[in-house]
Amino acid sequence: MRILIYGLTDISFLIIKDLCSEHDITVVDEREDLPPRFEKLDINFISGNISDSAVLAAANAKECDLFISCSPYDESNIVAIWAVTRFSDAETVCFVSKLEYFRNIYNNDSYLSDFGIDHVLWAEEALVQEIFRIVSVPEAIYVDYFEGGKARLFEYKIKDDSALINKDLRSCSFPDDTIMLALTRDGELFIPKGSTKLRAGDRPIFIGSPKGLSLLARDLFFTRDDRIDSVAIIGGGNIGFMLAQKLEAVRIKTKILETNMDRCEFLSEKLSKTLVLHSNSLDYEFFEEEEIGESDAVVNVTDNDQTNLFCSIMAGQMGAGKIFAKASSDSLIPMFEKSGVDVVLSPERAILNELRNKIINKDKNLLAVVARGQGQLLEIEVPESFDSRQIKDLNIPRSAIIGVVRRGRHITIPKGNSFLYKGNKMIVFTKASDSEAVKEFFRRADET
Amino acid sequence: MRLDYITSAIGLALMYFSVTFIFPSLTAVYYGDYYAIYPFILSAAFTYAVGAVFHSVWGARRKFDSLKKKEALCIVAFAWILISLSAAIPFLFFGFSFADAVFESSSAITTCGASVITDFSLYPKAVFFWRSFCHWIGGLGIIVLFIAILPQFAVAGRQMFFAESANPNKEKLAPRMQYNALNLLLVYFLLSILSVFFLYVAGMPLFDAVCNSFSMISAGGLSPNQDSIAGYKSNAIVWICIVFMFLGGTNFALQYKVIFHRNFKSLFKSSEFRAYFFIILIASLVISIFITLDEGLPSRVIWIDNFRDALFHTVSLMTSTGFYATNHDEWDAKAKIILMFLVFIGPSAGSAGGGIKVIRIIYVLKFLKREFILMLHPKAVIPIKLDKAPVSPLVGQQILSFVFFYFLIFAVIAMVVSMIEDSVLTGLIASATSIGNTGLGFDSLGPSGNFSHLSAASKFILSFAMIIGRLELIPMLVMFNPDYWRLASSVKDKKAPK
Repeated sequence: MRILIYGLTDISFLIIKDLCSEHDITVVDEREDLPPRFEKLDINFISGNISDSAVLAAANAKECDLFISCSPYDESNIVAIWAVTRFSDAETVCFVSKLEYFRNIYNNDSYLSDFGIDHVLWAEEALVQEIFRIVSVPEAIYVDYFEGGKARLFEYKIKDDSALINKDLRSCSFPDDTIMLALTRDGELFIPKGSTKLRAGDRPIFIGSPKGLSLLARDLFFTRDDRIDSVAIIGGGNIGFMLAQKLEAVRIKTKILETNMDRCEFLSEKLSKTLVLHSNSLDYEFFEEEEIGESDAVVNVTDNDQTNLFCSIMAGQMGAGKIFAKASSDSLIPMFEKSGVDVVLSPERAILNELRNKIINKDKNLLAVVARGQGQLLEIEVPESFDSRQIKDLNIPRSAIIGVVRRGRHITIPKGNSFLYKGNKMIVFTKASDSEAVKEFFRRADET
Repeated sequence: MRLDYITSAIGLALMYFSVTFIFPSLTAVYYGDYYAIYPFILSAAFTYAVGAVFHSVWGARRKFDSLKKKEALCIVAFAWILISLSAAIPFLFFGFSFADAVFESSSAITTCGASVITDFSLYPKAVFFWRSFCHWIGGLGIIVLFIAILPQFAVAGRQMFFAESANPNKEKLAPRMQYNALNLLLVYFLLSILSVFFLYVAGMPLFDAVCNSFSMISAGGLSPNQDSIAGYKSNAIVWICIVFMFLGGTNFALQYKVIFHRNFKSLFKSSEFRAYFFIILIASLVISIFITLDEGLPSRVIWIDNFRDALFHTVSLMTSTGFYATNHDEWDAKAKIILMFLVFIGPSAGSAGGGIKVIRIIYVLKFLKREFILMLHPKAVIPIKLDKAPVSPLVGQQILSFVFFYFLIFAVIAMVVSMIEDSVLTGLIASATSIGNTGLGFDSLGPSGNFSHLSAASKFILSFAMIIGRLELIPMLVMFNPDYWRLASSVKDKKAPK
């Protein structure tokens, strides 16, 4: 795919790094020289104004398939896309950082003029959606919904005092309608065997029906309650604000701790039920006074990595439930995780996932990625020529697990003796490295 | 303070007011009570003369664009007092004592509705028309005052009740403000006309329909019938009165939006209207249950009758109208104390009614709720919001001090009147019903009695209380600040080189 990117920024660096091995990438920016970190990447760089037709000709804009505009300025991005779409039929992605642009471009009717924008991405918004999904499930550290919520994917963390430690999986009785897909240990994802023993800190991933998963949560992860009641948000920036709005809407008791008084006033005016708390510093006394340790979840989303990490550790020591922290860079994630943060959030990572899953790979079978891209969920249709048979007779590769089978509108979580029929749709879990082989297997399934 | 501006403005107000005496004189002509014409004509002449003197004594001014807040408050306070006094003149001709005349006219002008007349047959129709017409003029005046004048001077938190009409750059009487005032008067006229029409259709004599409508829309309460609405013995009339008293106690700006912009949603979006509506609904339901359970009422067994009466009295006392459809003194004490509380709450701001006003009560409750939260979370940042917009601390402070002053003045007047009358109950009821401009109380001041048995001193004090309550305290209270007077005299001295 030929991809044209406008803007040399942190986010474009991440995108390029992620995509440059598979795609033909051209970058345009007003800067004359390429910053050092970009030099190592295999890209074609053109210096100039993206709205200039000469520059666009030099960048061969006519031929490009995808245009990503990710300069730091929303207005530049909008104009850039307007200019590029005069010359090319490329699909366009616009990065924005202001709520107003996001809303108005997202609802296509707001601006009467056509800017040619196909997708709007707002890193913070994507992150808020993700936090909100995870927050609302007790104990889970990653959550995704499929088939309109009829099938769900939960990732848990085995705590130090869990009864599951040192049990092999064969002897764990997971409820019906749930399947353990994979296990992440020390940052490494693998598909466990029956003899695998669980250790503290392991992160198993389950897929199942809502009912099965709630049984699982109750029996094996001893969730304190059926639902999350109280959430503390540290830092009232855009993410904190939008998350509070969403939490308010589902009647979760929310408090926001923020150090800037003006921002506090803004938040308290815009939010109706959230308790906005102000203190000059996010220190131990403040946390103690507001009983942060009693919260079911603590979301650390200040602009500062140190603050996020420090507040996470404090909240963890005080006994708070799930702890979320935002990290500005991917390289911080392992360190955050070792310090007791249950869910490390990275806005760039979230946006990259969205870009990859929804735009670049849209014609493939990829539904979602988990465990930082190590695991993939593929949607695969059983071929027309397939003879119906039981799953255990299928000889599917060890690295693939059929998580969900859909017949018409009916969703089942299959067992080994479940039947597969032609035309069924499956959600198949696999490690990213085996993804092609698994796809190939199901393509040939009818021949075997 | 510039004395020339103040006297000119008050003089103008009196001169304009003298025109209103024509209407009762015409009534007297129409009904053939020729002896009742000259008191009104003489009063008009006298008022006009006094007004003219005031207008020109320190130099006549016609433009009041540069009025300062203090001057405006002074004009408002004295204009109301002097107009009440001049409206009292006709009563003197009909055998009222000075105290009675002042009391009756203050009650009429302030839309209070308390009366000292015991035998209605002694007076011509023109007198009853005059009382109701004063209500109506007073209500009209108060709407103009609260919507066009006081908001720009930021008094008692008024500036925020009419966010759409309050002018942010504080210019004096902007065209938009006049436009808004006109719109609201349009609603006022419309409601009055509709009320007359419905009452007349329901079988009330036209004269009574007009007088009662005047009293109802202005939340006054003086009726030409000795037994108020109960005297008409018609359920249909009672229901019509419930509706129009309710509308009279609803914010006119809101009604304008609903009637002329067909914006029905704004009605229940307004937290004040919602609270007003539900307080009335719940209070009347509870009262009707109490009086139904109370076995001491022999002939009243039909629940719908009890509900209608409960609703009527709830609306009447809450909107500060003071009509009655039955004698609520016969009711259970539990029902009566609820009514008493409603007298304090009062109707919506932006109506002609008295009392604290629902929106201020909402604010105070939210303020108290915030205090509770702050006790547990001392670092919480919680703005107090009315209709989703935060109320500035300054406005909030004005509202709180208004409510505090309200109860303070209530207590002081109750104490003084109790001492004079040697009855705690009378003192408390008279004070509450005068400051709240309700005019209908309980016991000897309830439907079966009136204010005539009070001493002259009490009548003067209560008349003053009515005006204080009518002007929402502040324009009167500032007079107790010595600076207010000192500045006035110093400017007067420097007036010469103007």
